[in-house]
Amino acid sequence: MGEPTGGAFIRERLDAFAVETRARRVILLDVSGYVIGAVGSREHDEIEATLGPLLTGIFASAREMAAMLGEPDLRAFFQLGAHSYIYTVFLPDRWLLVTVFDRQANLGLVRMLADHLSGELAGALAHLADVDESVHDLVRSAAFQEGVDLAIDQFFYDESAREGEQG
Amino acid sequence: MALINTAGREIQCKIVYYGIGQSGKTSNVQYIHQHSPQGARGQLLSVATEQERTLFFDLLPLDLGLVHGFRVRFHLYTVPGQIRYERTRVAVLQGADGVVFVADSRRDRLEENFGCIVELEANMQALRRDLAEFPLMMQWNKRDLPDALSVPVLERYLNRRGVPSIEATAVQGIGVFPTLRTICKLVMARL
Repeated sequence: MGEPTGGAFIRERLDAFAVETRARRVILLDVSGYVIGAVGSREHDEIEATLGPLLTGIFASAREMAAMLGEPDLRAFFQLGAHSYIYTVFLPDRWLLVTVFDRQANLGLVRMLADHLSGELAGALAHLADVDESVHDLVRSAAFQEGVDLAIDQFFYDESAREGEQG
Repeated sequence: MALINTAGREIQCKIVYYGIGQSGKTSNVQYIHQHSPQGARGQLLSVATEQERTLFFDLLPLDLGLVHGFRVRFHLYTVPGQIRYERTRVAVLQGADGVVFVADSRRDRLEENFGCIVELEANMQALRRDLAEFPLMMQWNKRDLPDALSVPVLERYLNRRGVPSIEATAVQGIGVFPTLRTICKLVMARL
């Protein structure tokens, strides 16, 4: 088993959760919509990039509704389709656990095991959010910033070159 | 806040285009989508009404490539600009690493622009983000229209913080990429 703070550990726990709940797909997202990890059926792989931002948008809206209702938060929501269901729950401090399942799974079981998984992943997710000081030093270094500026300028230079060709 | 994924060697940043209804936010992102290299951009996702007015957001993922072993990605979002969607704008603003305020340069939009900036400041405060330190820039859009206010007037009333600003005519693509270049650099400088 991977160390309890690493990406391998997170993936192992997501795998186990998917098996125990009989979920079709389990996705771990950052609240900004970035997919951190996913396990299960890959039949909807191509939509995952857009599924993340849509779900986090719904979650962000739910937070606003919670504020209007005087609730501290609305930490979970359930979407019911004709064949598929989606259960999304907020994991402190900035993660969403998305479970896509069908009639083979049971919502009560998914909810209970998701709560359990939240506790199991707490340390690993906190570690994920903590950026190593050396990485911080790297991205703030002059060399890295110069590299970023170069990449941005190159990206737009390519665009300028193409527009020149088309003009 | 920007996600620095050490294990995945990725840096992911969220940029939000903010402004009043029909100021040109979606036009900016659509132009970027149409004129970016296919390998560097993802699908443009638009949650809009049947009349193509932004209802929730537009989203365009961009991949700038590798920098010192880190893949640098930007997610460009727009907000719905109509007055009744204020709470939705707050939702989209959450987690933003940079904001482009797209101002409609027309004379009769000045007051609405101003109200929207005040709203942005209030929303950022509510999200505990200090605008004095936050990557923010202004885009003076619709410069081609005959009733566009002069840039000094726009600067005076709408850019009290003196943040970087660029003139644009987004539907023609003018100023769109310079705006994006500027906000990307501002965001990366604040990691």
